[in-house]
Amino acid sequence: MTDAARIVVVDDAEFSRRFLSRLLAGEGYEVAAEGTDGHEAVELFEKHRPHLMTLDLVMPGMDGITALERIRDGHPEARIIVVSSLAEEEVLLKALRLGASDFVTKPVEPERFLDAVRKALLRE
Amino acid sequence: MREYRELFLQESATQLARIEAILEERPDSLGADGSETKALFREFHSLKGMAATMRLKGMAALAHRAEDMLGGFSGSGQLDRVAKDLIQRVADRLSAMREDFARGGNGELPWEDLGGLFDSGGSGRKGTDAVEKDGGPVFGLKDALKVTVRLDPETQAPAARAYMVLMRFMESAPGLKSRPSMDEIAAGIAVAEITMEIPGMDRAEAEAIYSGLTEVAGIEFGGAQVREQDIRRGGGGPPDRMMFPDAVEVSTRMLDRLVELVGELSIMDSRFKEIASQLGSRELKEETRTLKGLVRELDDSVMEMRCLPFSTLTGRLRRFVRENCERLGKKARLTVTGGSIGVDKAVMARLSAPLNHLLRNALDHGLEKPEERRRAGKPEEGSIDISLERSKNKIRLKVADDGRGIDPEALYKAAMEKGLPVEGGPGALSVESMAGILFSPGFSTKADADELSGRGVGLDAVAAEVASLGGEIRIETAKGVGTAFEIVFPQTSAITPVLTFLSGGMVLAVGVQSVAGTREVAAGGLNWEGGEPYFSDSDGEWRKIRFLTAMTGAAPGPSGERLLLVEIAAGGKRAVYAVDAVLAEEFVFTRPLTGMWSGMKGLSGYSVTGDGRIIYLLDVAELCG
Repeated sequence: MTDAARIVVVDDAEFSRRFLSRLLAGEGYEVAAEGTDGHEAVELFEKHRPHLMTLDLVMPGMDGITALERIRDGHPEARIIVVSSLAEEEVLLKALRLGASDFVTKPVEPERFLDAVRKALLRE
Repeated sequence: MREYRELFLQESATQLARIEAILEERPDSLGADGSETKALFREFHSLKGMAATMRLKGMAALAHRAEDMLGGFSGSGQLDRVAKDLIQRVADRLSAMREDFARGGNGELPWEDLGGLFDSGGSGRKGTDAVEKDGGPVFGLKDALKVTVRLDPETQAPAARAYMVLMRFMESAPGLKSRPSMDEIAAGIAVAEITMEIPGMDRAEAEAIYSGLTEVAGIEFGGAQVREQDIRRGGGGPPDRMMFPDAVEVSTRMLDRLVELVGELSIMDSRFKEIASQLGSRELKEETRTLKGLVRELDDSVMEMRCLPFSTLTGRLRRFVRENCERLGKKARLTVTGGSIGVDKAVMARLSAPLNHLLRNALDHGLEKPEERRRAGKPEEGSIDISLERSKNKIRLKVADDGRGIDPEALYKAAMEKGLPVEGGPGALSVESMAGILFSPGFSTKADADELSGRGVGLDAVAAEVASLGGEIRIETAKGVGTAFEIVFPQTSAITPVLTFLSGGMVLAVGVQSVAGTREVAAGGLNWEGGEPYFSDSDGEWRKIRFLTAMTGAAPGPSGERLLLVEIAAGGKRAVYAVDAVLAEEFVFTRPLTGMWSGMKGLSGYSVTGDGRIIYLLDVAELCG
C-alpha cells in the first residue's frame, strides 16, 4: 500500500473527470478509478474503499444525492466531496445533511477544490 | 458520531431537566413576562439542534414543533394550561426517546399523536425566530466563547457554506447558539457571517475547527479579529492541528483500572510504613506519611471522577410520578433536593431500584386520592420529597410523602393475620416494630399486588438491597401526616478497609464497618442444641455459631480445642461465624464478581492484592440473613 490517498472521481462529463483527476494526480494523490454515474459511484466505492470520493450531483441514471445516501448508509465514515454545477442551496444543504464532507461548485477553481480535498482528508 | 453520543446523552438530559424545572415551577401557566416561555424556547431549540446533529429525526422534529409553538407565544409571553400541558407531554416523549436511544435503541418513537394537538393547543403565531431576534446577538451562555466566522464573499452557496460551518462547530459543541440560527440557514437565507456563542470551547479549538473549513474568509473572537492569513492554511507546512476538546471521555473500565492502581499504591504505602518502623527510620516514616496523604488525595480524585450528579437518577422520576398519578387518579408533586450532589456510578445503579420502589410505595399507598385529601383538609395535590444529603462519609436518601401515614392498627392486624411476630400491642406499635413488619419478606398491606407496586417485590427487597450496600433504612410516620423512609449508607470508596480471615483455605474479607467483634472460645465450653453449637457471649446470652461450610468447604464444626469467632453486623442483624484464622485489617480495592463467581451466594466481590492473593468479600446482608 502506498502512502498516497486513494481517490475515486465520479462525474458524467469526461472533461470534468479528466480535469479533477489531473489536479489530484498533480498533488500526488492516487486516482484509483473514475465513474460516470451514481451506480458506478456506489460500485467503485465498494470496490476501492477510497479515502475520498468526489461526486458530481447531476448525472443521468442514479444521481449524486442518491449515490451519496447509499454510500453513507453503508459507510458512515465515507469522505465525499460533492461537486455541483448547481449552486442550488437546497440540494447542497441536503448533501451536507446526508454527510457530505464538503462541496465545491463548478466551474471548479483548482485552489478551492484542492483545499477542500486536503481538509476533508485531514478530518477523522 | 459515536464519540458524541455520550456528550449528547449528558447534554440532552440536562436540557430536559431544565425544561422540567421550568414547567415544575409554574404548575398552571407560564408567567406573563415571557421569560419562562423564552427559556423553554431556547431549551427546545438547542435540543432540536443536538438531536438533528445526532440524526435523531423524531426527536428533532418533535422538539421543533414545541419550539415553533413557543416561538408563537413569545410575544404575549403567557402560556395557558392547555399549551403548558402539551409542552409537558412533548418533554415527556422526548425523554422517552432519549432513554430509548440511551438504551441502545434508535431513539425513534411515534409522536404523531402529539402532532395533531399543536394545531389546537398552540394558538400562537408560527415562526422560530422571534425570541432570538428580540434577544440580540448575545445569548448570554455561561463560559461561552464568542466566535464570528466570515464566509468567503465569492462562495457560490452561502447558506450551504454557513450550514457546514455551523455543523462543524456543533459537532464539538452541540450546545452552541448562533446567529443566524440553524433553522434560518437551513431555510436558505442570505448570510455573510455567522456569530456563535460556544460553551466550553477555547480559542485554540475554535481555530482548529476553523482551519478545517473551506471558503471562509476570517474568524473573530469577541471583538478581536484574526485574519485568514494568520491562521495556517491547509497548504504547505505541517498538517492542521487536530482537535483537542476540553473534556475527554474516559470509559468506566479505565477509571476502574485507575482505582485499582490507587488501591495497589495504598497497599504499597502500608508496606513502606511497616518497613519504616522495622528500620526505625524517622525520615522514612515521615516521607511515608506524605505519600499516604498523596495516595488519599489521588483516591478522592478518582472516586470523584466516578461520580454522577444525583439528578441523573431523579431526572426521569417526574415523568414516572405524572404517569402513575394519571393511572391512579391522584395528584402529586415531586420535589428533589440535592440533585447536584455527586454519587458514585456504581452506588447510583444500586440505589435506583430501592428509590423506585419507595417512590412507587409513596404513590400507591402513601398518598390519598384528591377527594380524601380534601376531606382531611389537605391540598388536593400531595407532595413527595426526595432529598439527598452527603456528609463526610455517609449519604442520606430520604423519600417523604404527606399522605395518610401508616395506620398502626391496620398494620398490626395485617401482621397478626400473616402470623408475623409483633412486638407491642395494636395501640402501641413502635416505629421499630412497624419497620420490622414492613421489611419482613413478602409482607404487603394490600392483599392483591397491583400494577404499580408490582408483584413479589416488597419493602423487604428494598431493605435487603440497602443492607447489601452496607446501609440502613429507617421509617418515620404519623397517621394522617405522612411517611418518610430514610436510607443511610456509606459513601463508598472502592478502596475499603476490611478484616481478612481464613476459612477452608480461602482468604475472606468483611468490611471493617460490618465487623462487630472477634473472640476466641474454648470448644469445651460450647452448648450444643439440635446439633448446632452455641457459645455464651459477654452478656451471658447463648448465641449460635455458624460455619462457612457451604462457601469454603470448612469443617461444619469445631476442628480444634479453641474456636475463633467473627461477629458480623448488617442491617440491624448480627451473626457469629467460626473462622480458621483472623489475618489482618487491610485496605483492598474491591471488584464485582464476574464469570463463574457471579452467581455465588454470600460473596459480594473480590480483590486481588499487590502480591497476587485473591481475597473474597463476603456479602454481609446474606451472612446475617
